[in-house]
Amino acid sequence: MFKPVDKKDLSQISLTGMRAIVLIGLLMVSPRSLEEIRQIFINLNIMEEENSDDILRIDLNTIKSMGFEVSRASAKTDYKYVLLKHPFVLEIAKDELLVLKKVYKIIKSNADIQTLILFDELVRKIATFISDSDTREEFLGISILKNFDINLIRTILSAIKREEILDLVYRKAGAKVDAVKEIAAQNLVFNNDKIYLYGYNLQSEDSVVFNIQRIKSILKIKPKKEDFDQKVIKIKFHLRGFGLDTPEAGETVVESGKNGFIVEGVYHNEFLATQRMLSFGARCTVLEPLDFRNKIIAKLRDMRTIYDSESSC
Amino acid sequence: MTANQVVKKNLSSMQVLKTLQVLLEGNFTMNEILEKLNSREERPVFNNSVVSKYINTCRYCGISIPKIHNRYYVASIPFGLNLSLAEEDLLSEMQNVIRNKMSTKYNKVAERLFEKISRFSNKQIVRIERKEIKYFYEAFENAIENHRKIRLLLKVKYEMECTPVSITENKGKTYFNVIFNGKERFISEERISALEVLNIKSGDTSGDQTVLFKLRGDLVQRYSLREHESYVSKSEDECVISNHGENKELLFSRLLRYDSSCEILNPIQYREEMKLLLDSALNNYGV
Repeated sequence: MFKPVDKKDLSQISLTGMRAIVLIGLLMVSPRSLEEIRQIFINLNIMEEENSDDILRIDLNTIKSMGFEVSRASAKTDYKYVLLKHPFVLEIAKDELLVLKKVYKIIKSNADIQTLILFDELVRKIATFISDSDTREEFLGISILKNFDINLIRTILSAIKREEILDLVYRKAGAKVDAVKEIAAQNLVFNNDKIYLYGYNLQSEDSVVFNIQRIKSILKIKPKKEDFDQKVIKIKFHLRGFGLDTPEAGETVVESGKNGFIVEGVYHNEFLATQRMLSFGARCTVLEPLDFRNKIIAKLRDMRTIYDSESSC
Repeated sequence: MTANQVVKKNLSSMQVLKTLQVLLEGNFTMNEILEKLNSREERPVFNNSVVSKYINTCRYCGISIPKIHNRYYVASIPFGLNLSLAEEDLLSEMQNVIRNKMSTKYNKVAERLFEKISRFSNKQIVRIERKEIKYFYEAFENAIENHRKIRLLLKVKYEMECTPVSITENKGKTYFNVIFNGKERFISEERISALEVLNIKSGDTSGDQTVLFKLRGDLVQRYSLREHESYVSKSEDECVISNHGENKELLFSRLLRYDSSCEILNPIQYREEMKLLLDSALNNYGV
């Protein structure tokens, strides 16, 4: 991070000033003991072997007087000085926050989980330089993951990559007690500011979708299993146009013409497939399978019945 | 420590740090730096020669302090924000989005923000010049603000005189939401070749529309409000939500997903449209 001082440059720089900056730099990266600081200073030619540690104590007092809060080097800190607060203050104006919110909204509309985590880490890093607590909170709030357990997300992502089985504690919406589920983790999907775990429930032998904010904890991570036969639902439908939507993973346009598209979709479970078909409204006609087509007709009828009566508002 | 014990400090170190702090506040000429530094002292102690030496000291420590148009500024600090390559890429992507999808007003604000972040980071964030500004973003926003109609020329050589409502993002694509011939239309940015702001006042747009909808059953507990929503009423198994200004097509598509757990209450026009939409959907099946 720092280069040693060349003695011939000494007339152009302030040696004590350099010691102060180096000291700040070292403490900003990690806590340091007096001996570590001394050794680095000697290696950088900004302190002589014969100098006493008093020089370092004066340097520490100097940076403290400039607003740097440094802890005492005690047994509690492993005899290291810890930088608690620094006066390098990043001031973020209201209009700058607004632009960041706007740009995040755009990025978020098409982002994967990894990008959202990366953005969250970046926001947290930058926030350490913002001293005003209200601004810092608002700044951290730009990231949708502010209130998510990032470690849990990382554990699930890693399990998906290794095709592992998770024993997890989950509480369904409206349920009064937690339940332990044995799930083959398959995908994490970000949708409407929520993150869902798509997986296969080995106990009920069914595909499941869990809101990860309802996962209380992961009890066990077990190696992958080969011997389960996951059920998926395949649907063929006619779509007059995607509108503002685009094909999702698992959907293939098998035919396209003047009247729209014939799409074949493979869905994790029937609930998700139903939601997807309904979201297209009148642009969509389910062709196959027949029982699913009939279920959609029944749903549409139920929905239409609601509007037969006058609105209560 | 007793009252008469004096804490020893190094004056010249303090002055170097004070110089660095001023440089972190913005881009200044040497005179401005001196003025700022001396205004914080009881008597003037900083002059051109010592401040130059202090700036050199900072540079020697790896702090990048370029001098452009006679102004000094901190471009990066080796021990500041430790940005990874992926984070740098993300910042570049953000700059691209701002450059390509936001007006000059927002670009200026963003430029200021990225310059500030760069000052506190260990890498100099490259400022991307706006070579190809998409002026219609700006014109569109101005037209909304000033209640003006616009003329859109589409790439298929089709002209639309319409009322601008809002700019919408969906799945990474940008749409210009307009009212054309009394109907709401969403025009993909890629389809537009030119935009002209007309000297014609536009009427009220439905972009400010407030929609009330009711949710029933399990969904009441599962539902989380969007940023433009609030509860009008809520019980264990039923709630009424007020939604303000959401793109109509996206809202309808979302509410349809909730099937019979959801009912649009107001405005009546939206309720009627949902009725017609469901009739039309049933008609697809010959029902």
